Amino acid sequence: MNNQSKYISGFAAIVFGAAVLLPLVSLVFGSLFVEGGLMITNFTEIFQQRTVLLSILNSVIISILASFVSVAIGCCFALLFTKTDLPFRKVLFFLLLLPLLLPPYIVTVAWTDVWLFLGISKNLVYGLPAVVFILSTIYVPLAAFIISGSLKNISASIEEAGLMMTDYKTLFFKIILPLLRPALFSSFILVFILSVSEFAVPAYLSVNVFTTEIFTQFTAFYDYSSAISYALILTAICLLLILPENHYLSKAPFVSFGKKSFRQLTVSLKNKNFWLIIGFAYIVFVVFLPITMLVSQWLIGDSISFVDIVELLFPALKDSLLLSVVGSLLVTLLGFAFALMSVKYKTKAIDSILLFVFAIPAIVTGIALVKFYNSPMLNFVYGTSLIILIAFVARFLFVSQKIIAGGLMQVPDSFREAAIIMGAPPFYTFRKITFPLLADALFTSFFIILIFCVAELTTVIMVYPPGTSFLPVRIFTLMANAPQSTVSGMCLVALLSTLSLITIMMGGRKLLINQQWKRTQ
Amino acid sequence: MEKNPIIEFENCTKSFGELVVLDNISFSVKGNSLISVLGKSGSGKTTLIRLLAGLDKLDNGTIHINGEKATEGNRILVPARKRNTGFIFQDLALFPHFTVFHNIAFGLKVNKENNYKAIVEGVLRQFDIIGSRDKYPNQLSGGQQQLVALARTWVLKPKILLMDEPMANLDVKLKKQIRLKVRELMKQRNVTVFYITHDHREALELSDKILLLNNGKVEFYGESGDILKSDSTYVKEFIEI
Repeated sequence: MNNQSKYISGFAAIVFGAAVLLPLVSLVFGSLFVEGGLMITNFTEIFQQRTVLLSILNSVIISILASFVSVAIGCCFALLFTKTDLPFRKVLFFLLLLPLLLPPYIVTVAWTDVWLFLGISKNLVYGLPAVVFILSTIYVPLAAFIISGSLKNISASIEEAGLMMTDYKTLFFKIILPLLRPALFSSFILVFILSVSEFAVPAYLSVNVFTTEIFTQFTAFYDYSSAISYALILTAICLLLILPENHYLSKAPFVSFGKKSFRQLTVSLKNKNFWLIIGFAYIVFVVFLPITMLVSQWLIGDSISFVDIVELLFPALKDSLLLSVVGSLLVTLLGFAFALMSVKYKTKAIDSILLFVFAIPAIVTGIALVKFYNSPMLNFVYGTSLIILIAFVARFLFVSQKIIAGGLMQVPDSFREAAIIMGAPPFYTFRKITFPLLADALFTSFFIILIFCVAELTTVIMVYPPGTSFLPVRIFTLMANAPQSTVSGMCLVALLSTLSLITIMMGGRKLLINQQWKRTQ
Repeated sequence: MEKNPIIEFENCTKSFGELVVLDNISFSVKGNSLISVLGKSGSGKTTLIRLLAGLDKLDNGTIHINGEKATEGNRILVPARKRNTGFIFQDLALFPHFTVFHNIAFGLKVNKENNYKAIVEGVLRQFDIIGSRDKYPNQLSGGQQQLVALARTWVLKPKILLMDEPMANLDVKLKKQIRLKVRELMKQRNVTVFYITHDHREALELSDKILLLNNGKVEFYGESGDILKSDSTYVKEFIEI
């Protein structure tokens, strides 16, 4: 590894340490140690309050149920779309992933529209089962995505060797399922962490969970001390859960690149039409029904016109897109530097540190950033969009690093060494060899992080500075007073902007990568 | 030790953590010879040629190339790109995003060779791969990939050619064809070749000298025919006498 890479990685580590780790660490120590001594009174008081205990219980129940449902259904779809010869499986898998790309608050509004239209009791609509249902529909794609990545890594020869000795059913339970275990555990823990820190869905459905409790303490009662104590408990739950899974999660194959020579065994389905209907019905029910309902609610109701909604949201939309593009660029650049550290320098601690930061619930990250940067000296961060960019780094650097590290692992050292032996200087080798081969991973990282940034509500609602307008925050604040049809219309605008972004990025991806390859020659 | 050697390893030791891969080895090689490096997996064969290429550093010892100190202990005195060596990696390391033409042209372009197009065209004809000029590596057969890797290295006129089990996955006929090509090229330019293989029959057939490694030590180094006369039990077992 050359000096340039070391400087890049070192600089990235310093930026991340100072901007993200320091606020998180100071939140923990500032709360635990008061006047030089360990202070636990706040924590003991929390466990004596019934409402708080109930919110913790709600959070845990919702997260466990959503995780079970997501992993079970996600595993079935991963098998169906990855291991079988089902027609249109690639298109169906792409459609299945759509809810993951949509902001949770839009999905929530859409489902609420569906249930209210069907005349389901408001007690049920605004209740715990609804939160579990919505979170499951959002996270089934995540589980399917991770499990599918793991399935693609099982070589056909392993399965064929098993089939020489037994039938496929036994092979599945004795060989494939044990090989999938890390992916199953990883997706369960990931969904749990994401569910327990979810804010928008329970808040919209008026279900009292731990995140909404923290938000209320922080923004309504200005009781920072309680909010921070709650936040630390929530963090402790997530970190404790992630500790034994650290090994699996930090190595989980989130995205597979290349491996064109890798042969996979495909199972021939006996009743293809039946499975096709099942897959298609699920996608219609989970993806198209709520979106159709959003459209019809907006059309039927007495909403302001679409043009008026666009006008109302335009400043927020513009700021959102700009900040998200800059944010995802920044996260991808840092992700690249951290991937270099992890893959090329074999700095194992990097994976664990990023995973722990990712596991810290978004609302806690928001509080940590506000507490740390809210000082006259650091007002150039707190009072500007810089704090939103730092929030994006804190939230999504782990995902970016995982994606880019996956790509980097597919570029053998021998490519770089061959170029060096032929006389190529290090930067030229990077520009002509490593970068073009990594372009797919870098683009995927930028694309996924951009979608996440556009949809991020929880952290941004905590940290956004005056004068900055962010689309999810704008819609979320307008939701309280606007009629249901206007809310649906606003969600449609947000949905259309996200879908346009996805279409542009998907269309541009192939073109960009092909051009990149041509240019390097 | 050879007189006027082109390569000289002097008390060279290399470890990876606790594992000693090369243990105080010394030998020298005169020019224009083909040395087969034999040994079991993990015996230090690849490490040996990576050290010679300047891709890895030593723990102790010195490597001389053309009478010049190239590596001394953990200091690379002559960097990889200035050693005038060619390296054919086990995975061939053909750049997947470059066509055959651009794979071969890469080194020439890096070294600012203005006439690179004509030179590459010539090499494509010499190696009989002109028909694959605009193909990508994944569109080639194993044998064609092998020839491209050889051509890509050859075009830079190396004085030392290092080959790390490059023919492990080829059939017997192709192996023979490429071995003949290597021999032919050696004669043309007085090149010294280090050729790693597991196959002692291939080594006996192909090489002028054989270097047999065992647990990081040189078990045998000499004329290829002499290995059959060795008294060492390990050597006898290895070549199945």
